[in-house]
Amino acid sequence: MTKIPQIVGLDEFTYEIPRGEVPGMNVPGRLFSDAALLSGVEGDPSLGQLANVATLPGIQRYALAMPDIHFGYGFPVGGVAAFDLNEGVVSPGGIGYDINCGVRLLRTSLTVEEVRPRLAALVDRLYREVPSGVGSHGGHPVTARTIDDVLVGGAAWAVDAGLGRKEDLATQEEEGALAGARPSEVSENARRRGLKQLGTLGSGNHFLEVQAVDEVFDPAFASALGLVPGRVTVMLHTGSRGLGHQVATDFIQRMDRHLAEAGTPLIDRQLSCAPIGSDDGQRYMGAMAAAANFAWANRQTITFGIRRAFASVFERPEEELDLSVVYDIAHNIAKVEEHATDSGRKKVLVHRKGATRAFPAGRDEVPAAYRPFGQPVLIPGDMGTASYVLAGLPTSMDRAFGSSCHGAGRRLSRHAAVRAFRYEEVTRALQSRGILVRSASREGVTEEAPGAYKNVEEVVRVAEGAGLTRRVARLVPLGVVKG
Amino acid sequence: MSVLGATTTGTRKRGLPSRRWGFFPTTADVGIWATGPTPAALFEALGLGLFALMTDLRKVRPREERAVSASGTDPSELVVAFLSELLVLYDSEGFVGRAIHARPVGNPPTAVVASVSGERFNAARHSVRTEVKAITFHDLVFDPQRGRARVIVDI
Repeated sequence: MTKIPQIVGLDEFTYEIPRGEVPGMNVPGRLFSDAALLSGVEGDPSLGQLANVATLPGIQRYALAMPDIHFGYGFPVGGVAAFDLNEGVVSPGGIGYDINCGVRLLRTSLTVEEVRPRLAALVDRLYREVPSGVGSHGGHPVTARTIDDVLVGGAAWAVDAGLGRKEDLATQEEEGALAGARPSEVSENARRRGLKQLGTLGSGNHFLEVQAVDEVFDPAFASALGLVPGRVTVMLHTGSRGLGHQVATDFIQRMDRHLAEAGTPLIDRQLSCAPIGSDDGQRYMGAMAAAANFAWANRQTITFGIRRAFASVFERPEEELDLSVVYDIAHNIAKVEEHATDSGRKKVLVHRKGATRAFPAGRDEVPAAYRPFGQPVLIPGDMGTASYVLAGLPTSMDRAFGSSCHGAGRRLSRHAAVRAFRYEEVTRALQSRGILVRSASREGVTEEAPGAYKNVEEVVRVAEGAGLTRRVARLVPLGVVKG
Repeated sequence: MSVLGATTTGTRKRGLPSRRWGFFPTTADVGIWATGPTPAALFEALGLGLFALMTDLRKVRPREERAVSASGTDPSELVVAFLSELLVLYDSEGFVGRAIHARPVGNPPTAVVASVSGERFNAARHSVRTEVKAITFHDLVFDPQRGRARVIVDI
């Protein structure tokens, strides 16, 4: 049982787990939160997990957690950690099983008034175009011969295959493909799990949501993003499907075996890791990039399905409906970036698990059209409340290795949610507010009921108070497709 | 989530429980518990519990067979590898099993070969429950001495 460590308040939004709370901590743990959110994680194993991360070799400055922290395997979800490239490690548990799980936002030229009368038909059509639920198959199958191209090309592969527009790529993190992919490190099992899942949503907390722009906080940036109050947007949340899950499983096992052979077992086997420069480390980095690219190809392929659904329901060519990619962000990934550390500025490997990159204005990594404002950060809320578009702040670089939160974060376990909520009541409550839900399973709805999540408004407020991100626009749900 | 138990007949060692499985709640996801008189029965029960998380096994017919094998340097690693092979069956061809015959190799086991009887998932006849992303080491127990095992899955 992981010990629950003591936390010390540093200021209104910053808390610390001092070194020594867990034996072997190399740096303190640091959590962005506030009194209300903190009361929800007290007694939760996620704080102990944060302290465990601080024991890993080569970790820089502090093990970080975002305001939406909750239990994960090995690292907590909402965890950020940076490692020295020579002395540090790469840990698949610091990225998560769903490699490059992420969020994509599309805008449309349609108003809420235009969409409302056809909303039911639209949600049904989206449900048919984008396979979801258990083992969802039949999206856009790839063959054993072409999958390597997907693993290297990412979103660009899908665009070249006719599943998107050239301009879709410019407004994605890494332009939809991480360099350094090594398809040869993706096992046969991982390939088999992925072949039939390209263009599928999956289940769990993955979703596709038709939304309306409800409020704009930064009119200039919102205008650059094409977000106009009263217009309809589409948000998509999914990742690398079975292929990425298997890459993580394969390397957690391989690294665990090698740590045991070396006689250096870890505090938690899910923290399984390898030195970044080692054979295992480099092989995982190559496989992780390949899986990340599969996820970008997946979100691009689903975008194709979304565009088809809109064109069909509104009986207009998709270009007339706009349906451009506003942004696409990864929230389970590790990347080499340059940051300030206790030993000066240097390149480090930043793990983000249930956390997003949140770079400020002026950075080369931010698409040119958005560079004067900062990197867009997409925060899905629960299906009854709201989602947010945020922008990275300069202070996120020093405070959080250029990172922010990734969503509302679970408050109740899936089991507790199923016990607490009834399917009929959840859907009726949503329907009474004009929100339609279509799901492959009833449990998929109750497990993801709005009450199972932390308050997204609170999470976003803390991320702003802590100087990580600022609010740009608020989006409210109209129709939801759940896995 | 319903807690379905399945019992089978078979050789039962004195004092050890029969082959059964079910689910238990965890902080984030769900766990599968299993009991059984032999290591083979524990592997079988864990595997059936895994398929039961995905769909209602009572509606799955044993029409086809698939062979799976897995190895691991310790029993926990073997459990993760074996159950991951079952996930591959499901993700690659939609195959769900309703009966498993497992043959562990070694004591403690370092490999397992199994045949799985079942059929391909058919949305018209089979219910949709939860997709399983991965099998974790978190709080994993594989204890043939006491005839019990438990594993937590990421969903």
